[in-house]
Amino acid sequence: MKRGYFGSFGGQFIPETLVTPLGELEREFLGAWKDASFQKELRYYLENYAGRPTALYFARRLTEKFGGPKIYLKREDLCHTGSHKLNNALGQVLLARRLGKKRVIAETGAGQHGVATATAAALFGIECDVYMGDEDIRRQALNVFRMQLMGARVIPVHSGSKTLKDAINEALRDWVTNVAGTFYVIGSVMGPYPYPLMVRQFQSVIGIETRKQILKKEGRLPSHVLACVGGGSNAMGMFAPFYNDRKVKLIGLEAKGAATLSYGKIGVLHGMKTYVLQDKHGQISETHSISAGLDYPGVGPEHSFYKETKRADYFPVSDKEALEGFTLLSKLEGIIPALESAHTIGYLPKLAPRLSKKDIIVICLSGRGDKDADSVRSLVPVKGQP
Amino acid sequence: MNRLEQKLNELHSANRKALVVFITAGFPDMETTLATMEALEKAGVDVIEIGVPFSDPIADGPVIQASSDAALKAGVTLESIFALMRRARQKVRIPVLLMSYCNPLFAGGFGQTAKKARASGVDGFIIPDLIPEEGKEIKAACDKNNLSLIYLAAPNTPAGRLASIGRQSGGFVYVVSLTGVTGKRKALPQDTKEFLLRTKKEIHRPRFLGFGISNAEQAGRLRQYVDGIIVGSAFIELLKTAKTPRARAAKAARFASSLRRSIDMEEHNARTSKHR
Repeated sequence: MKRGYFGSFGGQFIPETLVTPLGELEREFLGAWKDASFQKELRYYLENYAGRPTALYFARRLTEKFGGPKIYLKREDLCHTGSHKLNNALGQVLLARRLGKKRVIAETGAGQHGVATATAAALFGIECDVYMGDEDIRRQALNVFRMQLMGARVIPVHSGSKTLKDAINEALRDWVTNVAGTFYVIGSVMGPYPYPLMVRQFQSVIGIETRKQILKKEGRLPSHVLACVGGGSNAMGMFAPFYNDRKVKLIGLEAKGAATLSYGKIGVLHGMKTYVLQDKHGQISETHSISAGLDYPGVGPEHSFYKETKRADYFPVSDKEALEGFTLLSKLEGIIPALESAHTIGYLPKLAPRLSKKDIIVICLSGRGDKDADSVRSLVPVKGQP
Repeated sequence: MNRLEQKLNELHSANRKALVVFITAGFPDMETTLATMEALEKAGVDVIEIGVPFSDPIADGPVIQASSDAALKAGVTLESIFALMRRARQKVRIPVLLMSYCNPLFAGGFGQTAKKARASGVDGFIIPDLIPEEGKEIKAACDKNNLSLIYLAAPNTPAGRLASIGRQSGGFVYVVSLTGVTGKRKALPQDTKEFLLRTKKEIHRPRFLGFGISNAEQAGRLRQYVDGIIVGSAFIELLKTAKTPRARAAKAARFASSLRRSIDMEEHNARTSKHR
C-alpha cells in the first residue's frame, strides 16, 4: 500500500509548508509508539487521570425493550471530560511535549475535543488555542466555558457554515502560519497522514478493552459493533481491533444531514482523499445535524477504505431518530448520551428486531449528554416541565 | 512549448524579471475579470493567475477568502471560467494559469479538466494543496495536454527537497515567501533573503516569489533575489474600490504599471551602468 494510504484513501493533500512538520510528526509518533517509556507514560495518564479502562456495561432494560440481542454499552462517557476524545488528546499532547512545542491548537465541533485538548494542555502547562465555529459556540456554550476555565482561548470562526469544517480550515491556517512552535492536535481520524493513523492508534484502546471485556463476560465476540461516525475517531478506535474478526459486523451511524459515506463522493478535503459531501462542481456542502460533533462533510480516510472493501457498513440516522435514542437511553438506563452517541441508540429499532437472542450488540457510547441538555430542552417533552 | 514556456524563454533571453498577477475569477463579476486581464497585459504583466473559487481555501488569507466566497455566491464554476478563457483568448496573448485547490479540479475527473483547460486557452495549474508526492497522475494529464504543473516551495522546505521540487515543477517554481496564508504583510520575515539565496542555489529553474507582497517598494526590494514577483491580494482589494468593470480594470492596470516599473528599475540601472 502507498505510504500514508488506506487502500486508495488518505495521503497528504497539503500546502508545501506542512510537509516538514508532518514528516517530523510521523517520525516522532512512530518512534514514540514503539518506545516503552512513552507507552508507560501514556498508560499512566489513561489509568490514573482519564479513568481507564472504562466499563463495558450490560444494558439490561434496553435489551429487554427490544427483546432480542443482548446489548452492551462501552462507557466512553465515563472517561474524564465526558467522552473518548481525551484518549487521543492525551497522546498528542504528550507527543507535543516530546517535540518541545510550547503551544497546541485544536479545532472542535461539539466542544468535546476542544475540552479534551484544553484539559491535557492544562495538565502539562502548555498554551492552548481552540478554533470553534460561531454556530457551535452558540449550541455548545457549556463546553466553551469549560475550555476557558482550564485556561484555553476559544477563537470563534465566522467563515462558511460556522461549524466544524470551518474550524478545521482556521486551525490549518494557524498551523501553516505558526508552524515552528505549534502542535496541531487534530481531534479525529482525519486530516493528512499521519493523523488518521495516529489518532486511530490512540483511540484503539477503546476496541482493545472492549474485545477483552466481552470475551470475559460472554466468552465470545459480539455479532455487531456500533459506533457513530462524524470524522470517525470513536468508531475507528472501536472497529480497528475487530478488523480481523471477520464475523463481527461493524456498523457506523452517520447523521442524516451529514452522511458523508452514505451520500458523498470521493474527493479531497482537509489534506485527505476520502468521501466528501460536495456539489457537482467540487464545492464542499454545508451540512446540517442536530449533533455538532457529526456535522462534518468529510470522514476519516480509513472509514472510506472500510466502506469500499465492505468491512463496515454505514447508515444515516435522522435527527428525530437520534433524539428518540437520546430519551430512550436516558429513561431506560439512566444514562444521558451525547447527541452524537445517541445516533447509535436511534438505529436500534431498525437493527435489533432483525436479530436473535443469540446475537450480541456492542455500542460505543462515545460521550455523555450533559453538554446537549440546553439545546435539546426545547425539543424533548419532559413531564413536569414548568 | 506552451505560452508559459515561451514567455519564460523570452524573459530569460531579455534578462528580465517576471511580473505575475493573481485575480479571483468572477470577482466581483466576470466582465471585470475579462477587462482586467486585457488591461494587465497592456500594462506589461507577464503571466496572469486566475483563482478558481473554492469553499474551503485553507492556504488563503481573509481577502482572497472573501473574494472566493463572493465569486461562488455569484455562481462562478470551472465551466464558466473556461468560457471566460475562451473569450479572453480573443485578445489576451500572455500565459494564463489557473490557481485552484484540488477538489474542484478533481470533481469532473482531472483528465477531463485538463483537456477542457487546454482547449479554452489555459497554460497550466498552480495547486496550493498538491505536493509532488501526490501529483503523479495530475502531472501525467498535464503533460498529455501540454499544460505546466507548477509546484510550490516554502521557507521550511529542506535543501534536498527544494532541488527535487525544482526538477519536478513545470515552467517555474512558486516560492512562498513566508510560512502562512496569502495576504499583505507589513514586513516579510528577517530571514527571507537567506531563504531566497538557498532557493537560488538548489532550484535550477525560474523562481517566482509570492505571498505577502503588496506594493511596488517591496517588489523592487525583493526582485534581485528571484526571477519573478507574484502579487494577488493587493489587486483584489483594489478591485473593490471602483464601480464598473472598466474602472476596476483601469485601476488594476495603473497598479500593475507601478509594479512593473519597480521590478524593471534595476535592469535599467544595470544597463545604464554598463554603458558608462
